[in-house]
Amino acid sequence: MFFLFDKYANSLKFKLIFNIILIHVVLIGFIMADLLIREKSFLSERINEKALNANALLASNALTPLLNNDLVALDEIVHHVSFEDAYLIFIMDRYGKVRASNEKKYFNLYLEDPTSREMLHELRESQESVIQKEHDDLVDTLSTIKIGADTAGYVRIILDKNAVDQQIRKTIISGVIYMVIAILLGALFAWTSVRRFTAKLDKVSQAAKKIAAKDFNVTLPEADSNDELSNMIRALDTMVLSMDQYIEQLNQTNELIHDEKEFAEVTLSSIADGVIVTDTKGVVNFLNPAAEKIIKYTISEAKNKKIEELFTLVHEDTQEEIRPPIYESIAKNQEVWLNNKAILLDKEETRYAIEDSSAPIRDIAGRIRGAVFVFRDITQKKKDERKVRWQATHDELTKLNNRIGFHLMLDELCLEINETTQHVLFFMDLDKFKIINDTAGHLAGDEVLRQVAKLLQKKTRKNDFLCRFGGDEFGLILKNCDLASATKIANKLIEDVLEYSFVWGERQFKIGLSIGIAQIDHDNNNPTTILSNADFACYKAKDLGRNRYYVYKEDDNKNTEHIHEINWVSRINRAIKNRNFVLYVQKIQGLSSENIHYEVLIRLVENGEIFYPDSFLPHAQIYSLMPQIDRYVVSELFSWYAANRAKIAKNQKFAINLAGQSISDNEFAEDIIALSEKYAIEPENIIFEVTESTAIENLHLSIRFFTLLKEKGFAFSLDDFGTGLSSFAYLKSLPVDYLKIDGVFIKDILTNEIDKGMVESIHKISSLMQIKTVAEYVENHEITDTLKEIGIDYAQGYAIAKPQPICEIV
Amino acid sequence: MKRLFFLSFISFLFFGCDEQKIPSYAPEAKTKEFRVYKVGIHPYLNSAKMYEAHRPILDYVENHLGDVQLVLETSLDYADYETKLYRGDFDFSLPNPYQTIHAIEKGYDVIARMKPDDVFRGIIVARKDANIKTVADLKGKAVSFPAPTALAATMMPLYFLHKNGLDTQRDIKKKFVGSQFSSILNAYSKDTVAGATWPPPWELWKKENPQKASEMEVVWQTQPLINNSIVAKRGVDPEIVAQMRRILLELDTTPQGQKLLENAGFAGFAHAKNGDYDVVIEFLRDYNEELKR
Repeated sequence: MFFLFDKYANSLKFKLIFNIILIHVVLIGFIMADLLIREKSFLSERINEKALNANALLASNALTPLLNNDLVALDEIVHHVSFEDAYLIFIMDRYGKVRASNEKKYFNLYLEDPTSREMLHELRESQESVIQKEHDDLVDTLSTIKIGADTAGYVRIILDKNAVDQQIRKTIISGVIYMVIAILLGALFAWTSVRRFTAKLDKVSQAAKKIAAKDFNVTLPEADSNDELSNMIRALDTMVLSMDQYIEQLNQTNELIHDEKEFAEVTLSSIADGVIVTDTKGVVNFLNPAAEKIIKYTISEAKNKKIEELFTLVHEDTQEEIRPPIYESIAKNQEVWLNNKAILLDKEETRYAIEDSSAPIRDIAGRIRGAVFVFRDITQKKKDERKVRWQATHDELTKLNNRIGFHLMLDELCLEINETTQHVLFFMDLDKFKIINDTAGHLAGDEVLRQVAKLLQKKTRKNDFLCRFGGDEFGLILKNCDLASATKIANKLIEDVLEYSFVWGERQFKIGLSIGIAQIDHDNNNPTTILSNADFACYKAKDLGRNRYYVYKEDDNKNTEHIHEINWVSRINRAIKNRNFVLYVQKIQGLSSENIHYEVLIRLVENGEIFYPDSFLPHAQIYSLMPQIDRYVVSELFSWYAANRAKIAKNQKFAINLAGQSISDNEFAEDIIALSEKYAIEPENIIFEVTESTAIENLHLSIRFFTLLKEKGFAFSLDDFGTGLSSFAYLKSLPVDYLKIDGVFIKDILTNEIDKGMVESIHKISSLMQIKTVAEYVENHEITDTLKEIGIDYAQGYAIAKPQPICEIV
Repeated sequence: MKRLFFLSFISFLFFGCDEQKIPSYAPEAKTKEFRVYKVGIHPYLNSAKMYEAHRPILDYVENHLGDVQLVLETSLDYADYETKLYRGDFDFSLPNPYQTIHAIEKGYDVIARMKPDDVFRGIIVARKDANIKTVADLKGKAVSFPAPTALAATMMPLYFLHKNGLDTQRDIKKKFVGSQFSSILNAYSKDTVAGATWPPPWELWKKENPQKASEMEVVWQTQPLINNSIVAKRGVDPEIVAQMRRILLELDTTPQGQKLLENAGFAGFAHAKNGDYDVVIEFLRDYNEELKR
């Protein structure tokens, strides 16, 4: 039976029913107990009262019969009064003799037991007329039958209290019966209502289980009232519905997230920059394909390794190892860049110049979860930058430093001058260079310069700074060198150059070297002064017969005439003022058409001596006089054109070279427009030539300049195309009309397939872009024919025509 | 578990049901040896008043006699008393003079008599406003009497009225109302124009009802005869009888005794013998002769 008990003990039904029964038992038990107690005391009281009343009744009724000794009447009275709890009734005379009793045996006897005697004695002693004692489960009542103050006799009634107990017991039994009935009924009611309730609850819990298993197709029991269960069912119903919707939403969101994630992953995979994601301790947990490629680890290889295990970062200049910036970005909770000085060494120690940044990854709450390291291989870019920088500071032809590099070096040295500093500057000029240039051609001249440069390089110390100013002028800074040693070196150089002979084709040439020496020290610390001193010294060396050196002395400054002469700034200005600059032109022949253009060139004529641009243009560059020269050229050409308009074909085009400095000059474009209007020049007849490198170096300015003038109708030509940072992309942004292919491609076109291929592709693309091509340095007719074959539009060179004074073309 | 407990509790109650307990106590009865003498007094008062009046005297006598019980037995009425007396129930009794004569015949002897004699007379009371002046005022009216055989309260007044010229058979309506007090009350309440009684009850009634009594007056009184007697049954211990007589005769000599007598409503006891009651016989003879015609 107990097993059953335990099995059901846990059910709600059972618990409820049990509790109801318990409540019944407790409540009814309490009530019954209370009732019984009350009843008992009530009955007790009643009995006592009954006894008293009976006694009184009996006493009053018995008086006369007792006095009259009417025994019959007394007996009648006794029996009249007798009732079921009456145990014994006595009527006694004043002496205590029993005159009547319900128990015959007591007649005419005296009650002599201790209790009876005590009671009688007590009653007689007390002033009361009745006493009541409870003893032996009896209520014993004794009263006097009084006449006035006298006692005529006594009445004694003994009642059995057992009757009370019996009564109580009866009450208990009936009470218990009621209780059992009540419990049964109560349990029954409880059971029926609970059954319904628990059945519903069961259904609800079944439904809940289903819901937990994500099955929303549940049937809930009816919510047919406003009780808590119905409310719960209604709420559950609503919950199921909203959960359904919610899960639907979640699924949609998950899909979206999935798509976004995929998109993000694809994006990461697609970007060219390397992305490495780490946790807060630097442990890698993601690489994108670009990163994999650079550091040469796959994501599975790299995962869970610390980032510094995969590659090393060093500083470009100091070679000191750099800690991966992720740590700094995590520590500082901000983005960190490594100012492009970082070199990444992969596991094979391959070096990559990288541009990188690192940023902390924060979650929504702002806590740092890790870091992302983004880097890009800029080795090529750096190379290109270096190349640009190199090109800016180096001479293309000789690969030596150029005047810009020279100025940078000289300025730096001058800044660092202290009391003990001793450097020396050589200003070197090649003798008899022009002869080679004039007789053997530009290409030969170029070759000479290259070879001389190599020679000079060989003969100079590693630390010394060798440069080419331009033309046939070279510079050499001997660092930490005293004058004596310098002169020795100067002698050596002169000797070596003298020894050297240049072979070109079948001819052999000899050249010489003049060196102007200027000191750089505490007293001579101004770069411009130092240069002009050296320059002057060189002039003096030449003046004194060439193939020698001359050391600049303070007194030389006193020669003001020379100063003026060799002071290029004033010299150029003077030339402009005195119109010592003479315009020359070189014909540009159309190959695919009969068109003829003329490139305007400039020569300096002083005292009958002609100076080529190579000799003075560098100085003009140095002293930023190019805009004046270019202005002069434009102005001179326009005025000559205007003066000789009648003799010139209507659409005769002229090409004018412009320097980078001129293009940078904002007003220059406007000046040109003004001049063209002044001299009524058709802009279409003017082509401005800018070297490719110049244009690229000043790209934005070039674009602006070009655009401004092109709007007016002027044309542009990109000179020396192919040798700079060749990129056809620039052509897209620079509005040019002509491309002048650099001579380097043309001169070997007959023998070099690659050169030819280059020329072909340049022409092809140019024609696609509707840009005309011009070939420079065309030295012979075979080249011309080839060019014609390719389709080149124009040719320029000694094979076509040599430069001639402009007045000669009309 | 709890169910079991519950069931056992119920069954425990039921077990207590069937027992009928007999009380463990019952008084013990014994006889006692006592000399018990019944005393009966003719019911000139009702039982309670009789008891009140005479019980103290009997208590007094009892105390003086020692180990004796003098049980005072009252009677319902004269008939009841006379039955008991003539049957010889009483050891001592206090009959009226009429009953005394018969008692002597039935085996009693006179040992004393109530005093004073002149108390033993009949009186006729009436409301003052009845204005009874002469016997003729009674004519044609009702008059109340206790009982026909009441010597002082009935016979002597009737003899008086007769002697004063009233035809008691025809002139008045005789109402026998049973007791002295009733006779008085009838007159008071005008049921009768007058009531006959004798002094002891009249005095008692007056004492008890002063207000009513003030409206009443004694109209006539008869000549006295002789008072009630104390008789003792022949056969009772002579010693006791002698002691009884002695105590009774000495009653009015002590203050205590006097108080008792005052409470009882008479003066005391005097010597008497059987022969003293011959006058009653004579009166009865006369009464019968003259009124029974």
